[in-house]
Amino acid sequence: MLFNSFSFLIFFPVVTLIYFLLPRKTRWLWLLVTSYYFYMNWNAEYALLLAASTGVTYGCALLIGRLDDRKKRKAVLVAGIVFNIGMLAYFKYTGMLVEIINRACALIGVTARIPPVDILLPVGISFYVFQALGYMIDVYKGRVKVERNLLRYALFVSFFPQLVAGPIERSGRLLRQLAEPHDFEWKRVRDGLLIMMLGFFEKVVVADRACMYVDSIFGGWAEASGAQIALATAVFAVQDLCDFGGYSHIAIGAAKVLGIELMTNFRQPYFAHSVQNFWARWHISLSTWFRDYVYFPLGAGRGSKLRKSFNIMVVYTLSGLWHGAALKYVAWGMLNGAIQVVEGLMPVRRPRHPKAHHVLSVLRTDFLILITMLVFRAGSLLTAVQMLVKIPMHWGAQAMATGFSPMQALCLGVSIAVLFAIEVIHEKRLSLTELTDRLPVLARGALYLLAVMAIIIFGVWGPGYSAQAFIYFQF
Amino acid sequence: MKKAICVLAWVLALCVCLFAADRLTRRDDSERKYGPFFEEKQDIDVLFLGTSHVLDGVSPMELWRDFGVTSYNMGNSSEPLDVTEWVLRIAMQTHKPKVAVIDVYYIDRRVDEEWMYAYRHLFLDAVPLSPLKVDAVRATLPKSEWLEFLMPFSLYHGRWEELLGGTAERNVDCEPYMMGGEFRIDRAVVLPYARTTLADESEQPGEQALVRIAALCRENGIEPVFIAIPAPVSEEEQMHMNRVHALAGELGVPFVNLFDVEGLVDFDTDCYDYLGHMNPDGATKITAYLGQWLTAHYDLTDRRGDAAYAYWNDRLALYEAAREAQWGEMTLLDGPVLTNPAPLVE
Repeated sequence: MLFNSFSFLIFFPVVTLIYFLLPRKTRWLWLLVTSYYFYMNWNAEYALLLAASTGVTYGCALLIGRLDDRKKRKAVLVAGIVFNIGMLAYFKYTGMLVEIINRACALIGVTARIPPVDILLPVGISFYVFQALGYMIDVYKGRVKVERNLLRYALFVSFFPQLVAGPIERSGRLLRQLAEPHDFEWKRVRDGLLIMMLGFFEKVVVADRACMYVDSIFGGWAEASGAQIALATAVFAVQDLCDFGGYSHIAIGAAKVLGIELMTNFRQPYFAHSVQNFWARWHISLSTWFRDYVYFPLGAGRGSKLRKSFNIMVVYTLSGLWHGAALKYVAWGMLNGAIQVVEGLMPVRRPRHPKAHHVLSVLRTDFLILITMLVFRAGSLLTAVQMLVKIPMHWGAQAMATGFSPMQALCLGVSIAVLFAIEVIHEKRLSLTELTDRLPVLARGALYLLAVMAIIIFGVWGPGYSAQAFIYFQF
Repeated sequence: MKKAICVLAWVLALCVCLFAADRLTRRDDSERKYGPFFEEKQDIDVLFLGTSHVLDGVSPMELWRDFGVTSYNMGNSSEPLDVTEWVLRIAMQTHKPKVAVIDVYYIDRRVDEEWMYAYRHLFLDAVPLSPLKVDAVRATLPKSEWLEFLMPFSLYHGRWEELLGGTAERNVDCEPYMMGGEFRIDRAVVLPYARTTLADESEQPGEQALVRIAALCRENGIEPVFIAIPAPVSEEEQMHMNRVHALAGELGVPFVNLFDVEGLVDFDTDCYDYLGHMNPDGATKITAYLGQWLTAHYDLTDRRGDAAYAYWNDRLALYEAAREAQWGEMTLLDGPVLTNPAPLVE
């Protein structure tokens, strides 16, 4: 069940209503049942994988908590990691591995081929596996206590708002909250709904409309002008933020309605002054996961510059691999790592004009991020290079895409402007809800109404209207 | 308590806005074609159901003018008989006519192959939401389309672009005062035609629907009549339709096969397209014949003198003015105007 589906519009209010009607002590059990129902809507069989990951990490953490021998504890931890990463690797990377082997065989003249595999990737596996692993490592490191209640732990792994697209929560924050009873509070529920509304705006009004333009240009890049590719890359950057960020906002808002605070996942990333700073603002729950469970254990920034650079490259290569099973994602991750390595080697000087320097730094960062975005979105690494070359070589003047009307472009432009204003407000550490709270009740109600109606009317949802389909055949 | 009232008021305001948005964005083709049927307060004595051939071949306003019979033309393009059965079921919720005239042209078509997307909306959008509509949608459409037919706003909210851009167009030639009928203004050379009275030996996909329709009519005290409207269709299609003679005999339902009425229509002058759909001249001839046949065979009240039906004359005045305005100039021209026009979209 997607957040932007009709099913979720029924599911969420029903779940919330029953949640608050149930006795306080049983509410978390209701969340567990509904979380599994939510997940099984995609593919009921894959709930077994979710349960397996839950069971194994629960058991391993329990064993780690009981064992005193450091070696045995480590062995159990490694076993748990191998099982979970193995499961993730099988479902996510088998196809890529087969392709690499086949290409390697072709290079050395071996004609035998492994038949291509077609394994359906279980929804959210990358998220819940990382969340479960994080818990197990935290138990091993003694950062959190072992959760002895299997069902409560199962809810931690499967909590539906963040199950399929994050944020990847930490056990220290989420497990505690799941154990606490949560009452209905008007203000919290309203704030949660407003965050969800922002998420829906980002997802269905901005991201899904931007997607039309981006898909059109990237799908036919060979015929596109350099200007079109450049604009499509910029639009894709917005789409990516609004797609992922929107989903995160819906998750955070939905959890807030239920009384659970999830971590912030996106914090105005395009206002970052460096690529390193960008990654402190973009998909924060994943970036900090890699920081806590990979970068720090590798030694972080301790030791030589070479060692630090190596650690960064390892983290971003893995991050690339996490984002997708293709070489272009690995290259994208390495590119992000490499830029940060170079940034780290640059001398730090006190700027003469701090404000201008900041603006230039933001623009430079966005420019670099756009290049990485093009690699991320292009069909392959080779295509990405060809597109990058085409931008300056065949600039052209055409910017619109076929099938993307001026009205759609106008709607996208206005919604991006609204989004930019919201990002500026957030960057200034202001809260949208606090700002709207200053309005009289009627004006506030009207504003919310206007926002909801704008999302419903201008959002890309439903079967999709085409006037062409209504030209009645003349017989 | 105060907060609860505020929230309730806000939700109410949202519902009002959603209702208004639904009305504003919805295409009005369906409302113009079927809306008057669902809004009509007086009795409708005859219902015409079936394909575009009955839609273009029968004029309810001329039936009123010449015979005083109240009727509604529920005909819709590309409508298989399985759908006609549901149209009748839905229609009976609002009006129980004395006679239901069923066009058998699509006896050889299946619902999953033939009922085109736009025509599904043309009929279903105007049908008020009810358990019967849910059943009709479930029975005739793939699951992936259920939502847009039960909640058309899920589709039509996307019309903001053409509404704001001023590019919205209406695509049906039907006005509410036509009581479901329409004008197709043109005159065309039709496809080559040869009449056959032979009947195909194999059962056609729509035959069981005809059996059910006949039973449904009788259960509800409605007289069923099967009809075939002349068109230059292939011999194969005629053979499919000719099977209805035997079927109608078995069911005890009259079959008015207008293919066999000598000189009723002239394909050289009475068709507006190469497929043989009737232009206003053709429709006038067929309506006149049907009016005589229906009033001769059934006890249909002439309601022209009934004050309760006086507003039908207002509709008639609008109809005649429109017919004169649109068709008057055309009749001054000689010979075919449009020669074998291809459909707008393949």
